This record gives sequence, structure tokens and C-alpha cells, in this order.
Amino acid sequence: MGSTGSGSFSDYSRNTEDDNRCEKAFSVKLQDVEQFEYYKKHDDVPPIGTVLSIALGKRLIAKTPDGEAVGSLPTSFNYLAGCLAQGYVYSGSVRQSDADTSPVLVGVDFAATSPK
Amino acid sequence: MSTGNDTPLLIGEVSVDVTVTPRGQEQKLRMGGIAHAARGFWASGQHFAVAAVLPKYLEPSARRYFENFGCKQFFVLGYVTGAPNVTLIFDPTEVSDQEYDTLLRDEKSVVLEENLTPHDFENFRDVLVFPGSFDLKQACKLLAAGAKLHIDVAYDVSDVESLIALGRPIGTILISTSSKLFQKIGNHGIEPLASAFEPLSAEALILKENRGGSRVHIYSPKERFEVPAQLSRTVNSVGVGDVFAATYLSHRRNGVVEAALRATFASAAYAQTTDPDVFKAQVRRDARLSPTQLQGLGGCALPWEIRGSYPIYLAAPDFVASDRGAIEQALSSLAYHNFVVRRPVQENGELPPDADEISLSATYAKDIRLLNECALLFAVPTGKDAGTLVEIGVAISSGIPVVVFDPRGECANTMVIAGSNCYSADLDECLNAVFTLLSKRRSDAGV
Repeated sequence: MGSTGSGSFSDYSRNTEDDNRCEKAFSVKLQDVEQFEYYKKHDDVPPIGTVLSIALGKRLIAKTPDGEAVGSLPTSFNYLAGCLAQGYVYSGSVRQSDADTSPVLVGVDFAATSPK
Repeated sequence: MSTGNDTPLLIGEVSVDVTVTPRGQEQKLRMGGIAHAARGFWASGQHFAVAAVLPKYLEPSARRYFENFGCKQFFVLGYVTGAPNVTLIFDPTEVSDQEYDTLLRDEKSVVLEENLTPHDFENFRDVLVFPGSFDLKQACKLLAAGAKLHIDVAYDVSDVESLIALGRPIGTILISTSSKLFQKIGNHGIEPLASAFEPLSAEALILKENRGGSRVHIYSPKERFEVPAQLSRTVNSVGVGDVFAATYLSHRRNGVVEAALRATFASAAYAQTTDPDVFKAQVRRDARLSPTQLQGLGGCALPWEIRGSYPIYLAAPDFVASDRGAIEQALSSLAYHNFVVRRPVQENGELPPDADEISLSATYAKDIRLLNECALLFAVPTGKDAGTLVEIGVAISSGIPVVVFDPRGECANTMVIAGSNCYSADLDECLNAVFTLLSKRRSDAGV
């Protein structure tokens, strides 16, 4: 809810999280792909449709089911580290990829699975 | 939750923050002043006590409100008279100066309560102070001899001498780049700033550098480190520095590094919502991460005094007769954050409409030379200005990062959007991109 209107102090705690960012789906262009394991090993980007998940390495990274790191997430997504720690799981698939651009392009759509 | 002597005392004014929104949008009103720090303690699971200075009419709501946020004892340190302690805020995202306007500020005075005694405060060992219109020296006389002050000098402290005059042990000094005191003594970097505060014999000085992160200077043994900012879309940045201070104090027992890291993540969470429960939930999630994990995530670190070494090229119809609204907004924002903006039209001249080809070629060459000297191009393509769009293209092909601020969406075109590092109608988003891109450049260069 936050602060609403000017009639009273409305932003009391109600001990409920109405707007949980962890549960939201998102799209992201991965960063520094050329420096990651997948590109170095295959000299290519993952094809469209490749399934990826998010893991906390040193930074937040996207990796294949085989564990090959594809790229990092922009730091504006760092809030996801706390979500991962709480048990959220993020999986998605590559929507666009192109190894002939500079920098190479890997665009992914991710969705969240809530902790059980 | 911690109790007993671990309970910090929070001293300062309680006010009402009103964010002035454009016509037709819902007004935003919040308990302000030390209420921001209170939310920070609460989200960190830290009980606290309050010694508040406030107008009498606000006392019942403030008592209720602070109790809701985990306040264990509420003292009225003094009453504000002559003013309602209402602050109007015109820029809650702080892309530029927030433009606080405190109503009836010239009529305001504070009368400290006379029935409080040192006995009331004898158990508090750590005191977080936000100076205000009250007599801080007088207030400090109520504290136990060994009580340590952690003082945020963002407002209402005009010089270091007035802090020395308090005659109290100081634990932490927190100062922000937006404060008048910083502008007076800290503009040239952390070293002279740390020296200026040296006579206070504090444990640590923390310089909060807005979107550029923060720096912690420990006095003995001397040590200094940077804590990168966590940038995301800003909803309301009012009070984020106060949340930083409260979170820092809540975790100080685990060491300065961890305290500063957790403070940074908490203040980022606070900037992204005005819903206290959403804020707290994010803080509790981040609490599951170790300090090493928080540090590894990275972020934006761009110290105040080095921003000028990354000149920004302004690509815009920066002409006298142009529609200058968005251009002035961008210039004001970049200057507020201490960036040096190179303005080709100002530096190389505005040519008359009938200028000949030789004059045009000479100016074109100068502008391109200037662009190549810059670390980033910031474009404001008002009126689909052709020159601006060419400059964007040149920068893209030269590998110079491009940020496009297009408030009216006049150039929402595939080549402009996809070719730029950031294209947005939102200045907050553009500013975040400037910080992030230049911070990355600094980090890649190993500076």
C-alpha cells in the first residue's frame, strides 16, 4: 500500500507483503557473455529456446541445465539474490540470441517458482 | 530482537513529509524525520527507543506510529512551536536537488522538555542523532557519560567545531554528498574530509555518495573501502540516508564492513517502495545472504570527486531558441551529481542559419573531436533534432556509451532504442544508466 492520500498516516505495517518482486516474471539481456564458459566452449551463443536458470555465483548468472554459465545479470537485478536465498527458483528460455553482433546478444524470459 | 543495553536511542525531529505530485496524481504523505530511521531499525529486527522533537499536535500519532515499528520507549525531548513541521518535497527521486520546503521554517522554534533527567537515558550506550532545530548540546547533557554518538550530519550542522563542542564520544559520522557541510569541506575527496573530522576521534566516517555508492573511512587502524550502490528504479529516495544510518547501527556489532553492506542493500530497498512491509520483506531476504555474497554481487561505485574525469557529451538542440525544458532538466541533474558536461553548442558556437560550408565543416570537426574526448554521450533529442540523431549514430559506431533521455518519446525508433545503452522517457532511469556505465568503465580500467 505505501503512503496513500493526505488524510492520515496510512503507511502502518500490516505484516503482509502485497507486492512481492520475487514472484514477477522478467526479461533480461545477459551481460559479458563472451567472457563466460558457454561462449568460450562453443564459440557461440545458446540457440533460441535453450532452457536457462539463475544461480548465485559471485554475481547472479544464467546457466544451462548442464551447469554452463552463459552470462551475468545486470546489477539492477541483484534483489533476486535474496529471493534465491529464500527458495525462489527462476527458469526461462532464450528468446533471442545472436553471435554476430557486438556485443553478442542473449535475451532471456524468466519466470519464478515460489518456495514450497 | 535485541534488548537492554543493545537498544539504540534515536534522537531527532519528527515531521510530516508531503511529496508534491503533479495535478491529477494522488498526494503522498508520510511520517518523516526520524521515522525513516525507525523503519530502518524495524526492518533490521532492531528494537529502539526514541527521544523526539515534534509539534504537540503530532505527538499522539507519532507515539502510535513508532510503537507500530518496534519502538520500545518514546520520550518527548522537546516541542516545536510556530510551525507544523511539514516538509514539501518536489523531487522524491532525487535526480536533482530534492527541493525541500519546510513550511513556516522562519517561525519555528523548539523548547526542550525540562522534566527529563539523565536517569531516563542512563541505559543507552549507542545514540543515533539527526540534528535539527533543537539545542543538541543541551540534549546531549541528558546522555550517560559513556554513551556513544553516531551522528548524521546531513542537515543542521554548519561546521566540525559545533560537533567538538558537544564533548561526547563519537562512534560514527555519516555525511552525504548532498549536505551543505559536505559542499563546504568535502568537495575534494574523502582524504580532506576525513582530516576535517579527525579532531572528533571518531571510529569511522561514512560518506554516502547517492547513486555512486558510499565510502567508509576507519580512523584507527586506518582503513578505507568502497561499498557500491544498488541501483534500480527509484520510487522515493526521501529518507534512504536515514535508513542507511539505522541499518548500519543495527549491524555494527558484526563489523563495519558487514554493517555498511547491509545498510546499502536496505537503503536501496527503501528507495524502491513506500510500502513498509515490502521494504522489510526485501531486507529480511537480503539478511539471508552472507557479507561475502553481498559483496560479490557488485553494483555501482563512482566516487564524487572522480566523476569529473569522465566527461559527458551533451547531444541536444542546445540552442537559445530551442524548447529547453528537458535539456535544462538533464543538465541540472548531471551537475547535481557532480558530472562535467561538455556542451558542443556552447563550446564550439551556434552557427547562423546561412553559415557556409567551410564554417559548417570546421564546427562539425570540432564537435566530433569533443565527442571523442568524452566518456559517454547523453542525448536529449527534443524535436527529433537531426544533429542529435547523427551524434548518437557516431557515438554508437565509435563504441562510446549512449544514454538517450526522450521524455516525449519523439525518437522511439528501433535504431535509437536498440543502439543506445539506455533509452528512456524517465530521467531517473537515464541517470542510473550514466552511473552504471561509468562505474563499469572505471572498474574495467581497474581504477
